[in-house]
Amino acid sequence: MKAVVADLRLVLTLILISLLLLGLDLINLLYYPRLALETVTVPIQVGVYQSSKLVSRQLESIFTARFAAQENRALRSQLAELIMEKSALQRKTRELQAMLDQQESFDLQTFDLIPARPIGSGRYLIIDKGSDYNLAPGQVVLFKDHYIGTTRFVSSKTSQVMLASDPDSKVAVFSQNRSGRARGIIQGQFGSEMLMDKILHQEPVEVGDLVYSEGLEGKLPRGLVVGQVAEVYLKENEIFKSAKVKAVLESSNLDLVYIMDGR
Amino acid sequence: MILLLMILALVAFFQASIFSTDLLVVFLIVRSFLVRHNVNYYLAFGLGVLVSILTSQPIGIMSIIYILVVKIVYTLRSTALSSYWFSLMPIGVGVLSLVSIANRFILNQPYLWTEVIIQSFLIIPMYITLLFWEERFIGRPTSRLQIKL
Repeated sequence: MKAVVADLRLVLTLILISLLLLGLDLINLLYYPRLALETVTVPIQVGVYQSSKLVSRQLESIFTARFAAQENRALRSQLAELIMEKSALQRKTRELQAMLDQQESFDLQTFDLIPARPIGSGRYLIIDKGSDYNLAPGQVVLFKDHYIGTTRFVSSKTSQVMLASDPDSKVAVFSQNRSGRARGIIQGQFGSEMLMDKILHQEPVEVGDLVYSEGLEGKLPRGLVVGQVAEVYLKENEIFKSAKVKAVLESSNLDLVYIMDGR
Repeated sequence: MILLLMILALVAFFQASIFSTDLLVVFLIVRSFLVRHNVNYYLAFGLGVLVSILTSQPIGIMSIIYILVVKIVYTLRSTALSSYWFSLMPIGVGVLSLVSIANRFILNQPYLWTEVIIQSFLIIPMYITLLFWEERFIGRPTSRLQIKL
């Protein structure tokens, strides 16, 4: 009971003091003590407020950086898609341009041409058309009026093209310049070089002469550009002379090639 | 006790400058529930004066509210129903609602249910923290070591 009374007395005392303070404050008698206290507390409050703002700004910048990183990832992915789309469009444009050029340079009414896309290159050029498109070994592959090679192995979906520079390739050719023409047989060497051999000494051949197909192989038409003479080898003690021929077109850079329909 | 007072003063500055949630009233409810001591009245009085100065309210008004909070918690704590610790939650929510209503009528502040809910959610973490604090860091003059022979 004593404890309850003491407790109540303390509560009432503190409430009375509070009421007294309240009354004094309401009639402005605590103005100066309050002013004195506020000179201490206000700078602390300002410091706490500014610190909290600083911390919240730092946290905000962390969140912003996180959002920016996520946005950056999303944009990168979008950019990659756009680049892929652009690449596909560029490839289509190049193919269309190649088809247009082909139409302008080669008489399509005389020869039926099947367009094919190179999908690999090593010793043989791999194209994306095969027996499904009625391709068969030995068909001529060209680009514009340049001889590229002949089909070698044909599967249902792809075909191997033996390039003119292949060591197994032999084509009857002639070179043409102002002095006349020189006949020979061109045989591939390793790399992009070819050797035009069996040229008679009296037949003129010079560096820079274009070499054309003779058309003796049956399926290969006459007049396709095979290469350009890069060097002439004169062998006085032999019956024939020879010439190094370089391909005019790099087959690995082509977007589209054409197969002559041999039917 | 000095450390506790410093922390409470800092909390008073924080709640006056940054966030509107009254953490001191939650502290007083929980401490009054945990420890029955006259210090709670003095704390309520002192913190009330401090909060009044920091929030530019008439000095003494918050002291009265805080002292009454402590008294109400003491009264409810002495009943048989509140002998378990989880009775703190309904007591706390009830007292916080009363404080909010008192603020509405005395200080013309809007009655915010959200504030009451936030403060109610803080009761249990505050209880655990204070229980740990009182058990580990506060020495009791009444504690005696008993040796049984």
